Amino acid sequence: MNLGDAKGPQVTIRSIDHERKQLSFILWNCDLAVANALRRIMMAEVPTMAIDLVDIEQNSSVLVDEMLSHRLGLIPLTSTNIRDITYTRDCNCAEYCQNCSVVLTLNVRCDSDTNRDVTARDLISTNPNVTPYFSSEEDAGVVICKLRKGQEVRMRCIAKKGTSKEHAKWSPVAAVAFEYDPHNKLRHTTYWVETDALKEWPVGPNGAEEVAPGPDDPFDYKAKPEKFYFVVEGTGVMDPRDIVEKALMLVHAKVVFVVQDLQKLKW
Amino acid sequence: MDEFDNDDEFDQQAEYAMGGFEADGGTQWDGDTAMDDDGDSLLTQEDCWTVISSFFQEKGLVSQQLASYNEFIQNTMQEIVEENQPPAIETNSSYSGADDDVSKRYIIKFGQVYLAKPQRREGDGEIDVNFHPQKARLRNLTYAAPIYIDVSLSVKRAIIAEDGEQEFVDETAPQTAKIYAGEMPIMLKSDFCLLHDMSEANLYEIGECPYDVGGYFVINGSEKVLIGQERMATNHVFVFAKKQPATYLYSVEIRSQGEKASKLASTLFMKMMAPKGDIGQVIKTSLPYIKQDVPIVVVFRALGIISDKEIMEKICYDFDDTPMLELLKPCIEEAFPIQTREVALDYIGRRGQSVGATKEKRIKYAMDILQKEMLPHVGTKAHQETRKAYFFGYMIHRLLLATMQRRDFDDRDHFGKKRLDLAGPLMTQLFRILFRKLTKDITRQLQKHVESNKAFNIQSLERSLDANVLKNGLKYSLATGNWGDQSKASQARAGVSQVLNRYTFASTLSHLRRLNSPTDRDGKLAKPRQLHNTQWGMVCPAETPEGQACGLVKNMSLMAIITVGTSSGPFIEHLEELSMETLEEVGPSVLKDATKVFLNGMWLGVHREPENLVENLRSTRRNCEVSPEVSIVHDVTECELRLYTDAGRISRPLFIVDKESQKLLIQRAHVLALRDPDTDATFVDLLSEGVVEYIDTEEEETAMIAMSPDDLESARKAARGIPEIKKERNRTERSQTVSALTLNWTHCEIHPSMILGICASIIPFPDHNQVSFYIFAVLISENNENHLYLNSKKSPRNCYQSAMGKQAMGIFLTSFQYRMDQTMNILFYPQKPLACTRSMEYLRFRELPAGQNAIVCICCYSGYNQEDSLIMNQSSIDKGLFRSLYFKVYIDTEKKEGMTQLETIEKPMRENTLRMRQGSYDKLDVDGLVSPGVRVSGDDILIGKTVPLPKDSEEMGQRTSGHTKRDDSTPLKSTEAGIIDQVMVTTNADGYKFVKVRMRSIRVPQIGDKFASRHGQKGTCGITYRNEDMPFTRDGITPDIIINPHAIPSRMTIGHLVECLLGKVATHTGHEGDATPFTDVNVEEISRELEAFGFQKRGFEVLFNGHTGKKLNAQVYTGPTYYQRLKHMVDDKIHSRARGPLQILTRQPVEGRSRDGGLRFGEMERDCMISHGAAQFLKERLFDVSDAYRVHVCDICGLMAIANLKKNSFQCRSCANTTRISQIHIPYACKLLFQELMAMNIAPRLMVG
Repeated sequence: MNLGDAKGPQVTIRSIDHERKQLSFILWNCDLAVANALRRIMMAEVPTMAIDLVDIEQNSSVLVDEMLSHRLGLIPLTSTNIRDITYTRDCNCAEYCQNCSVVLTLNVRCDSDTNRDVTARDLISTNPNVTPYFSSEEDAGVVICKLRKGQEVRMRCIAKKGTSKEHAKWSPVAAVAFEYDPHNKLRHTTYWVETDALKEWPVGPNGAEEVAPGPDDPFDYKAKPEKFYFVVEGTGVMDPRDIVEKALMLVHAKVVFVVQDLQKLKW
Repeated sequence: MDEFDNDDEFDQQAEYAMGGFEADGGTQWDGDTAMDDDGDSLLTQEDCWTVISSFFQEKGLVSQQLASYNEFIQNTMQEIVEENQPPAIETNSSYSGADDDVSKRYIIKFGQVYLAKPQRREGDGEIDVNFHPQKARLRNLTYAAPIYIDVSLSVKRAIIAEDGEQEFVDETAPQTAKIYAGEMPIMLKSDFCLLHDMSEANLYEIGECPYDVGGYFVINGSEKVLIGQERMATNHVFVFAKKQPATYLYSVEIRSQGEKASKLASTLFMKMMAPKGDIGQVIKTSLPYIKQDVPIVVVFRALGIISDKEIMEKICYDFDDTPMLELLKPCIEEAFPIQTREVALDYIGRRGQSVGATKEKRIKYAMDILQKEMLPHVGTKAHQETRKAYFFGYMIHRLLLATMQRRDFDDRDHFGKKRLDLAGPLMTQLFRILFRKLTKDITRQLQKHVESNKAFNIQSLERSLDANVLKNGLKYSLATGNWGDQSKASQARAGVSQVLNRYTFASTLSHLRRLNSPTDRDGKLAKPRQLHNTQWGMVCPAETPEGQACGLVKNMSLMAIITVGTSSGPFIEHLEELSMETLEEVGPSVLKDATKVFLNGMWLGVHREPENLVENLRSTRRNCEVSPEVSIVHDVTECELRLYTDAGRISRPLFIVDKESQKLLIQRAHVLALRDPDTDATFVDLLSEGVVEYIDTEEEETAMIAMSPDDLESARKAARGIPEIKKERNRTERSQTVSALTLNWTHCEIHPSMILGICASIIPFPDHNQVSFYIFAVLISENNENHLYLNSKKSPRNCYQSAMGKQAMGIFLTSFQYRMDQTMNILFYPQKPLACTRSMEYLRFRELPAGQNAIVCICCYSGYNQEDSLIMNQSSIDKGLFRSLYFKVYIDTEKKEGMTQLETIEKPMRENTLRMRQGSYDKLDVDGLVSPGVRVSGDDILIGKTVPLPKDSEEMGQRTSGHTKRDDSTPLKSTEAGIIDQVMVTTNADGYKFVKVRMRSIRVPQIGDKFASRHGQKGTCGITYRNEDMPFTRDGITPDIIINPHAIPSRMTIGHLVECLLGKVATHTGHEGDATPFTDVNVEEISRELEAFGFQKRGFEVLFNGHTGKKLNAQVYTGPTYYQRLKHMVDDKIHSRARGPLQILTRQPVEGRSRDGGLRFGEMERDCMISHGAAQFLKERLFDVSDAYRVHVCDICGLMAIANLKKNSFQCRSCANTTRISQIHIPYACKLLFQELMAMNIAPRLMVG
């Protein structure tokens, strides 16, 4: 492990693209396992809010209740202040309460002759910190269903805190791009070629960060991957910076957990 | 992405139609119009597709069903009524001497038949004129329309005319009435259906999906299709060589049937006997109703052709043809004793059915047989002997030609010699049988009236006509599929009518276009199952079931149509105008060189200038003067011109190629007119302008068909010596057809991909998969028994997909919410595929898809995708991938008998109801039904129903004084759970209360569920991994599905790989990829495009291990592939049992999951245990765990003794033995067998010790 090095792992931020919710950074001077752990935790363990229970009072839309609630669950809810909310399983309440959940209501009826789109804009939250995410003022919001004249949806949605390990709706990221050794100097993969590997295998944008090996350079079989290129693309529920930060804290918490356990051991 | 939005889809299609479609394979279909060397613009691929689109716009996909049914209602029904008039009935003139005692004659005449609009008369007499099919479907009614017939009754009385003869004059003026005669089930979307030409908005209004194509019936609420039935054509002469050893060498046969087809076909079978002793090869023929074979010369003499020379003229048209004359010598010699017509007729008459008749009668009998029963298609009227003799001679001529190897033997499996009976002809058969029964019933009634001297008028006629004969008769056959009379169900053909498959839209379409050959399923012949050359373009080469019905059940190709039949009358006149000489007019000497003209197998005459005649006939067909479906076959080598106008021939449209210029007659202007929305040009215009024509299987043999307009052009150039400018070919480009250097093209294919059927048209790049049609049968003899094994040497992947596509989930119709089908599966998020074929446009696959585009990796990862299993991404499943809805409907009726209420739908109460089930009755409302929205699980009661107990029954002692009724409720299946979706309460056909309860549940993909790509690559889910555990690309893309690479090499489904590659390109271009077979799209071009988007050109990606983050050593083939979720799901199959219900009779565990049955330890498992030597285990499985039983036997007689274990007393009465008794353990089934044997007076004795 590289963690014991004097310098320790380093992070270089390459760019932040707010519009595309992307954070690009390089993690270097650390082991592959650590880098991948960060990736996995960003994807699976950073908690967010998502609708988990739906009390349906009225649904005369063409979509069945189950489908509607599934769609509601997938709507990204802003989870910046997720720390203020506890997991329902850790909460003292019987079913759910203000501390562990947020209630959103959806109450739409179509009375016009044209069809009406029910979107995330129609969800009214009881907690200003947990609302459906919109990329901009113009963003019409995710379409939940369409209503014809006379149709109506009336429901209470209970959003809860959770992680993507349980269900993908709690994932804060859309995708995490991850790469190391763009020129394959370490030969972790053996290229399949028709004629020429250099021509056939396109090098990604991260290729510019490293020097391509010359054709006659010797193979360093002891070399280990060092620089890890990340692009974190959020779903909008959190700032990508928060996602990384939160993930790093989770890594840290895990390490602390191990350390604590080790200390408990008596020789 | 916005590009895939619904609204854009229409634009894109419009773009197709406008011809601006750019194939994503990189090929530019249309651009500047190419010109040939004369400056004529050439037809592009896109132009061909415009023609195809216009064909489907005109015809739709079920035109064969609709056209056939329409023809039946419009014409055939009336014809049947007219040909089956009841006979006139006369009263016997008695000799009472009274004044009014004269002989009377009653004549009933059926006239015009009327069919009203579909309607329904309710129990209270109210008539629902808005009786839409959806009402029938929901209420289990029959969608039918009343039939009315004009009937006239005239009564005549006898008077003695002046010449002393009896004459009949009208007693009263003929009475007429329009009488209700029954109900005719109406085919949906036919000309007589309420849905015909209904606007989309109206269709929605009445709960119909506008995509539904019709072509089926609604009988008792279930949708029924009539499957096309294949049969051998009538009036065709077949010559066969008999497999030796046999008494005869060659045979010629014909199944002759007049045009009306009102009688059974009469078979004439002639054989050329093997030489026996000094008798040469004589030819003998069978005659209808004649028990013995008759020498052919005798038949000629009986027909009035007496002299040897005249006979020879009828058979051998050229007297210089000594070999043929030589062959006839033995026949002439054999018939030497019979030299006059009388003797010949008597010879035949003697061998008839009547014994001991006088000579005159015998001669009359023979004459009648020759006139009416022999070769009825030539004529059944008097004085047609010459024609008959000529035809009879022609058959012998054919036989002789084949024996002399001048002409090939006939091929039984030739598709041109097959006819397909669709809805029309099938309904005709049925209607004829039933209508005859109806007239017979009326005649009987009338007879009764007359005999009992009662007055008979039009009212009594109306009363005696039983409308139920037609109504129930038609309904019975359509409901059960037993085609024919209900009383003769065992002889009737089964499976003619089937329940329409509503799994996917494609499976519905495919079912409506299915054909069946009712030959022996376990017959040993492999030949009829094989794909025949003549089936090209007519039936799909890929879509046929595996196993016993392989090759017997076929599916029509997309552009194939089936003729409905047109009258041959106008044709005969036309031929006579065109100087055809009839057989009577022409001398035998002309026959040698003239061309014989046949019409529907009947030899009409000869023509001396056949080329002109054919040219003339063709032009009348090409300008639609005669129906375009007639076929004109000019067999130049045999000097025969065969014309066909009958029903059931299968044909398809082709471009016509000009004989001289060798160019297509269709011009760009035609295509442009089709495309122009302002002109109302349709496909029919192409037919009437003579640029496209229908060619049936038989005519196809006389045509020279180019594969594509391009091929035609290059062949034309090559033949003219203009060198073809060769495109640069790369190594992956498919070999193109090599153009033959001929200048004799007559036709050109519209597009070769039209040879495929519905299900095979969904496959992308089917031309890249392993051969589709190589299944053969092997005959293996085992223990003197012949077993038929159907082997497939190569695995036909397209065939597998054609079968699997029918099990895929999607949206089968947009009206699914309104339907109450037994089971329905609806995919949450169906997508149109990235790799589309052009045919999908007509199949509505974009609008009603059955699958999703999944990102697929082909790699080994963790090992949970071995042996055709696949790894799925749990995160994708969470997000809705392959999620589906499942609906199940439970039905119950409140039966009544007369006015007495037999059953009541109510909530049963334990106090007064006997035999209540163990499930929960709590979810029932007071009305005895569950309400929508209630969550139900296994064994919960959905419909509560009780039956009153008979007063005196004791119900085996369970009944107490409080019990007044017995429970007969409907519980939910024990393995299911869900939410009540809809409850429908109505009345059924008998006016009883009738309920349908629909249960809904969500099926989330899980381990064990089955999925398949469109290339016969099926697999079950082996494990699900979350996103972070999945392998990923450097862009962070994770696959939805990982399949194992071992699924590829042996199966050679290259199409699967190409689809993936094309899909990957399509995601980046934002257009659909074109995966139509037999086009110029090739891998190299797709690769180049992919490379331009910055990917490895063959579709490989460097993947990183999700668990470790390390790169995988091998690069992985990754891209979007269209996957289908199949209906087989673990939740419907999972089953285990420790102890459970036993059969009453044998006390062995019951069978089947639904009854919580045992798992069978079968023969093979038993064999396995024996070979292991695991005897104790075997005993446990077969005995202890099954039906272990204990009996006591008498040691003296070995029979079962009486044992009273409580008193510890045992005795064998017959032996008077109470001491020597042994206790033994045997299976209960064994004990049962012994007791049954004892009942049959066989004493099985168990001798102990």
